[in-house]
Amino acid sequence: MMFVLLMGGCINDTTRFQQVDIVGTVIPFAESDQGVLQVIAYHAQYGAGSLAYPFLEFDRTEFDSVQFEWTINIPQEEGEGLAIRAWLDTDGDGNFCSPDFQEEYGGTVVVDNVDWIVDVVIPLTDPCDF
Amino acid sequence: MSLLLWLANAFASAVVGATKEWSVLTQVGAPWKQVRVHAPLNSTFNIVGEYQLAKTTRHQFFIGLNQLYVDRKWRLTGDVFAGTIKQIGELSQQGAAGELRLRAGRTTGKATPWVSLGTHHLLLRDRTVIERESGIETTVTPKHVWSLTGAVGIEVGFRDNWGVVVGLDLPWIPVPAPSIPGAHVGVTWSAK
Repeated sequence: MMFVLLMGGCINDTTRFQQVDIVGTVIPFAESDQGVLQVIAYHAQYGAGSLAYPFLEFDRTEFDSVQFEWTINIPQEEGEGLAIRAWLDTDGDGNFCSPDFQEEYGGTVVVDNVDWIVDVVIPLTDPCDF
Repeated sequence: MSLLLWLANAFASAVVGATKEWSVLTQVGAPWKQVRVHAPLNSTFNIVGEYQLAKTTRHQFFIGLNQLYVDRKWRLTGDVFAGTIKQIGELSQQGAAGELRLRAGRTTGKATPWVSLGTHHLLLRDRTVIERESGIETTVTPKHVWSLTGAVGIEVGFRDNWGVVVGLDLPWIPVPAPSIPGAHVGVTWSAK
């Protein structure tokens, strides 16, 4: 019975995060661009060797302003580094670009040093690529 | 004819439970392997120890109490088990486990069919560690995994206290996903 109780106290799995405050400023492609700001957080790199690939998404949110503060929990055992991508949903359809509307722009910043508070400036210069 | 005479009336012993003597079941199969020991307390209760292994990765250690409910042409017993599971590999798990099990088997005849059904419960404790500038926060969240266990088979008795068991294992681990069925063969032995 003691053994059962001891095993009942065992931890099955441990997941570790680093909490980071992102203070962001987005520069729209055109000053007149308006819409919900979609922001996505990625590991900059995931995997190793021939299976390595960039940008593993782990969180996303949206804001009503091009200036935002966002607290994220970065998983510590999945990938490395941090990249923040943003785009303005100017047509309000929830999708970045579509075959019938391609006037939306996004931007991505790779954070070199991930500290407790990270300031990012994201120019939206990446056009749709259909 | 000599073989038929050699075959004693089989009676599911450590397979069905409520044994009157010390009894052991040892079985191997794909993927389940098992050793079970019955120690009688009285005419109604047995103490049961059980070790179960699935492939080489899932180890389950149980100790429990077996109770006799019905003892006629068919014997019906029930178990309450408590123990632990340690599963290694890609789907590693470890935690406390318990099971309520019903076992039934025919008590007369050369070859006795038997069936076993159980509700299995695994309690996992997952820890989340968040490192902030102000310090480290740790929380532990319990998670319950429910499975159903089931098996059906035949025991054939040899001499007075030996038996050979064949069976199909039909668990649902976890509910609602049915697991790939398994099969096993085993040997039972009871002290005279």
